Amino acid sequence: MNSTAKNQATLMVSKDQKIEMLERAVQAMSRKYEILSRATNDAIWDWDILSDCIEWNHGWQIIYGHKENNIPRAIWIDQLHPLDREEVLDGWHKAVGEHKLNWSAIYRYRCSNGTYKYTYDRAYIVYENEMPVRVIGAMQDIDERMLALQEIEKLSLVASKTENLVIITDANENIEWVNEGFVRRTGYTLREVVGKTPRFLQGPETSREVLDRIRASIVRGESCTEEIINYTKQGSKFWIKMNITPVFNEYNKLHRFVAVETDVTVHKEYENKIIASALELSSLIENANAVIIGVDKNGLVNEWNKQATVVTGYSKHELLGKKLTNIVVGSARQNFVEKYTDHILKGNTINLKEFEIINRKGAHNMLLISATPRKNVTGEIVGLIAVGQDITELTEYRQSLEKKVAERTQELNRSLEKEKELAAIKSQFASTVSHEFRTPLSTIKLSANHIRKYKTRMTDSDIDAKIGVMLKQVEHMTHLLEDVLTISRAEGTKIKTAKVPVVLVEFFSILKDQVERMNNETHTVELQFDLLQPVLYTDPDLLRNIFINLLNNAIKFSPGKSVVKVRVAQNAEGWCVRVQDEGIGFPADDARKIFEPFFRASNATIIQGTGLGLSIVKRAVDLLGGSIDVQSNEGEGSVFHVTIPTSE
Amino acid sequence: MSYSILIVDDTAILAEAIADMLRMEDLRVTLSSNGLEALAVLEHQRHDLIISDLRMPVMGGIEFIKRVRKNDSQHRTPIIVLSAQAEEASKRECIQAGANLFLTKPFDEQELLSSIKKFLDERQS
Repeated sequence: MNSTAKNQATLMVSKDQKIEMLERAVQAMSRKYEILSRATNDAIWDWDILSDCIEWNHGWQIIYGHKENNIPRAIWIDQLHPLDREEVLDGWHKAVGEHKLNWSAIYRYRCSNGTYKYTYDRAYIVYENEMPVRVIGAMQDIDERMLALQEIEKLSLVASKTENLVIITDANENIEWVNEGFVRRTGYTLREVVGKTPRFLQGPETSREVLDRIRASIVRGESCTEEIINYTKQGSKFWIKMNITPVFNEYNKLHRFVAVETDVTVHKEYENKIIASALELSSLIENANAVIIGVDKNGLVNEWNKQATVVTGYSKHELLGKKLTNIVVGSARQNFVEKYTDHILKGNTINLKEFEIINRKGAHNMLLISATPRKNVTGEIVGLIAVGQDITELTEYRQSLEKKVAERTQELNRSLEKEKELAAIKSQFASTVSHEFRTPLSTIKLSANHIRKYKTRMTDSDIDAKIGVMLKQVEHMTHLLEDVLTISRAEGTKIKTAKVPVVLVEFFSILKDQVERMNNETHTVELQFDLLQPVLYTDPDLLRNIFINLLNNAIKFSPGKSVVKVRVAQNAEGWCVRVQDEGIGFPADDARKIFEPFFRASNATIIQGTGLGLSIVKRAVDLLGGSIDVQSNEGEGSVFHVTIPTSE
Repeated sequence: MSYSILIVDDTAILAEAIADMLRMEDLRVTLSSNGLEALAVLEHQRHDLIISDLRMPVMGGIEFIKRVRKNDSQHRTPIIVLSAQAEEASKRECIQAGANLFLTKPFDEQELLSSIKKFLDERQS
């Protein structure tokens, strides 16, 4: 500027005047420069390349704190930031090499206190003979601006490079800017979205309710954070968690909105899955076909499913928060329950324990319980879960089974006992039968040999007597044989009754004669009839067996008496025959066993017998579907009642 | 002189038949229907030989033999048992009680007669 002023002055008129004018002009210029350089805060410098000295104005001290305002260039170069130095010098050499008139550079320059300040340096280069001889420049302090710029650069780097979606709108919610994260996730370019409102990202599944909440916050000028469904350009939906913050200008007027959004689709899907499985689980618990009960650390109910209600009769809301022991467990079992609750809360499990509860109606149910401690996510025991199966019916079934088994065992034992008895009876039978046959056989043999041996010495009547003895013994044996056959037939109960019409009066009259004759007419059988129908449809052989035995017994057991009474009557139950004697009777104790084979009353030993007669009678009566009972007093005689049903 | 035989049997018809036979052999016979009755008879009258049944009312054969042998430690009176019980055990029991011979019914009357004769001959000598 000085040189320009001088050139202009050179063009001026007369010499003295010119000089004077020139001096005045120079002075004026110097003053202007002085004023100018004082008015600016820049450090203005003047480098005389030939002397290689740089001269500074006061800005040099103000900006950088350096006191020496005339320094060699080498010292100036020393103060350049080492990282910037090379670049600055390169730029200078390049400008000079190309004969540029202007040179500028931005660099950090060292202050007197050792710190660096960002500096914008601009200069004018003066050439003589194409060689630079003088440079005049100004160093401007741009430190604050650079720092602010760097801050903005960092911020915009964050905004544009973040994985989050960033949207900036104006006060009317028209998009001004979106970041790369937004472009990547939505598929929309910046150009496509600028000027639109972010509402175009919403779709059918976007929650109206959430949008209304966001709207309300925006209207109030408050920031809000919400999760919401957005759609990409391709139409696929994704979950975002977004924070919308209103930005106000210095006049506190709504300026724009900044929305920072995070893609939470994965979380959201996971969360939904967890919620779904939690719901499924709770429905499973609720609807399980098992009693499921939860109890907290204090023993208070916190789970109570449907089946628990079905089994106990108590509903969920009646039991929640209450102590189990007070309600469904009887007082007798409280200690038991508390003991087990403690046991489980200490981390143990119980498996398939039978456990009785009392339901609402007061009935007892048997549960088969398995229980485990319930832990939270950190593994701390917070209660217990018990799963039970109602086995009341099963228990009853088991008990009835056990009872049945016991009964069956008893039955088996009884039949085994019977079997043993039968075996004993059979061997007794064999020995009795052989005994009973041997005696008459001896008599017959003896009598026959007697005749053979002594017949020459015997009279006719002696011989007749012997033959009579033999015949009588044969008859006795025949009768015995019939008895034995009846017994053995009845043993197998294979005997078939052959029923024919029997005229009772005729039947008993014939029987009477037979029996009287058999017993040598010692007794008379008195018959009495009280009949509506004279004919009984029955098996005559069995009937004969019954009464021949009863009548023979009556006579045999009433020695010294002369009458046996028989009454044949008919009543509602059927035919009723009573056989009554006045004989020795038998003790009351024997009545129970009197019909058993080979049993002989305790007072019967003096009278010959096999013990078979009454057992034969009993079996014959059974075969006819009838019944027999006896009343007897020792020494006063016996009364037998035989009933035979009319039907069949 | 004739020997006297005591027959103890509750089956009268058989006892009679035996008695008939013995009488034909010139033996004297007393009948008794059980052990107790026979003991009473023996108290009044000595007998040279006893024939006894086993199963009898009031007092059976075994008990009767034991009682007889109690008063007759020398076994002077021979006892012949006639029993329908054919088992060895019964036979052994009788011999132990003091019986001299055990015959099973129906017995051979010839064997009975010769045994009686033999016992009586031994007794005489």
